[in-house]
Amino acid sequence: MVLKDYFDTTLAAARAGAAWAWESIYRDMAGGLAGFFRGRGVNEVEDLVSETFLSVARDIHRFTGSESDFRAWVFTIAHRRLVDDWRARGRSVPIAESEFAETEAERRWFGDVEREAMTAMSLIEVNALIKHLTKQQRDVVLLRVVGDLSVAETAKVLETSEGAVRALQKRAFSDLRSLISQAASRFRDEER
Amino acid sequence: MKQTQEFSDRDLDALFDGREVSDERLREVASAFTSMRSVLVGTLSDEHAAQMGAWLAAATPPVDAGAAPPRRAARWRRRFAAIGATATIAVMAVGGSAAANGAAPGDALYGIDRALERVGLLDGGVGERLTEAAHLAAKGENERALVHAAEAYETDAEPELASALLIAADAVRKGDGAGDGNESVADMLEWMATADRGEGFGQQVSAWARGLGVHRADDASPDGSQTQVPAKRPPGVENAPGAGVGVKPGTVGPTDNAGPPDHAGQPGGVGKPDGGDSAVETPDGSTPGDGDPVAPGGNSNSKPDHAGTPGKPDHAGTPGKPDHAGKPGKSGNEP
Repeated sequence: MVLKDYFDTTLAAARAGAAWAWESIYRDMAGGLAGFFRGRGVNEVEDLVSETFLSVARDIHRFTGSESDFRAWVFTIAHRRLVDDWRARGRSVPIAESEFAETEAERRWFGDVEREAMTAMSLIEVNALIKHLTKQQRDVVLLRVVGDLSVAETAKVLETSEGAVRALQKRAFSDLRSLISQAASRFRDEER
Repeated sequence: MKQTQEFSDRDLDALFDGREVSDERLREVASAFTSMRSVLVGTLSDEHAAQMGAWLAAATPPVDAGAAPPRRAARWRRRFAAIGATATIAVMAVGGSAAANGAAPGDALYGIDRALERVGLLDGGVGERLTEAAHLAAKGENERALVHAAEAYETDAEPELASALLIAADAVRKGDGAGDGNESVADMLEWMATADRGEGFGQQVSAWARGLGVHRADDASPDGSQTQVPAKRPPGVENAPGAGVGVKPGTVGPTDNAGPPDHAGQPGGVGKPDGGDSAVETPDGSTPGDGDPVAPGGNSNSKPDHAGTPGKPDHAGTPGKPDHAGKPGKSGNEP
């Protein structure tokens, strides 16, 4: 929700085909989208991000609403892309195996090696956590935490109720908490 | 604030939103979420974001297209349209860009050329701008050519070169009637496009470009330099129509043993010693007009075919002869 007051102006400019408007929308959301895809174990993250944005650009005239609606709409498209991607591959892509995750971390497009090195957990560890969750919990966690969507926005994307999203995040939380306290020694608590 | 299990929805919302959590027991998970965010999201480069912005702006359909059929019915069509667009981009990248890549300003494909470069599909860069400028010069648009080249260096953070070229452009505009600037401008641009940008490149180009201006200013310099230069250049001119000598000015030297190799080989070297000898390029331009009996014949032979395809990008690639095409064209106009 970076654009806030500028959202309406930016949206209007984007509709008119202004490059700066698209650039700021892209800046605002591409990271979250990429994180969402990456957390779901997608291999060609940047391809899916580009495809999602291409759909957004082509359909921008059909969209009306607030910035919150817009974010939910973009992630809805992303979510559908993900489902299409899976179907096209004819297999369910598992969360990154640790070996894959390592090479993935190296050649990452959005990557920032220094920053990664300083975070408390590695990509491998994060993936291990995500892997532990059920598919539905995973969607909720990734959309809420990585995609930076609200409960209401997440409910829209997943076509469910806010109550269901809250229930899922509660279960995801207690699962993660027990997992983390089991493996507490592995993670240093530097963030807070 | 209903308290199912241990934590309230409000606490959990705050946790998932990434806000500060007060409860000690939430902090482990909060820390894990922070890691998840920074590990998975990553950062964007400015350049990439700008490229994507331009690409998406180009992909946005014009406003009228918005009044479209209802969502449900349109979904599959939109999906196919998206696939079509992706395919189009892929095809463009393979075929169309090859065609567009060679386009010079004023050509129909030039806009596409620049657009693809912006998006990052084509290389762009100073080299290509210079080749385009050389095409312009070959067409006789010296001033535009120089300004075009100057813009290329401007964006490439070489302001000295850019300003030297702009000065030259100014000089060319002022001395418009003199008529023999064509070859030297085209020669220079072409050499710039093909030469290595090593040490001294900037100085050579600056000296050369300023030389154009100096020469324009005192048009009556033909005495000393002119006698000296034709000795060197006419052989090159004779070679020119047949053999594609002119690709690099440097190759002129080796082919004709007449001139001092170092001198002819490096046009920049020619231009360096002082401003006067950059007039070197111009006198020979005027030679076919007044002196040399051989050159006009040779040129008039070569003229028709050049005249047929003056602006063709690939033409310039062949032998660098477009500059000669420019010259006879000029002298043809004058009578």
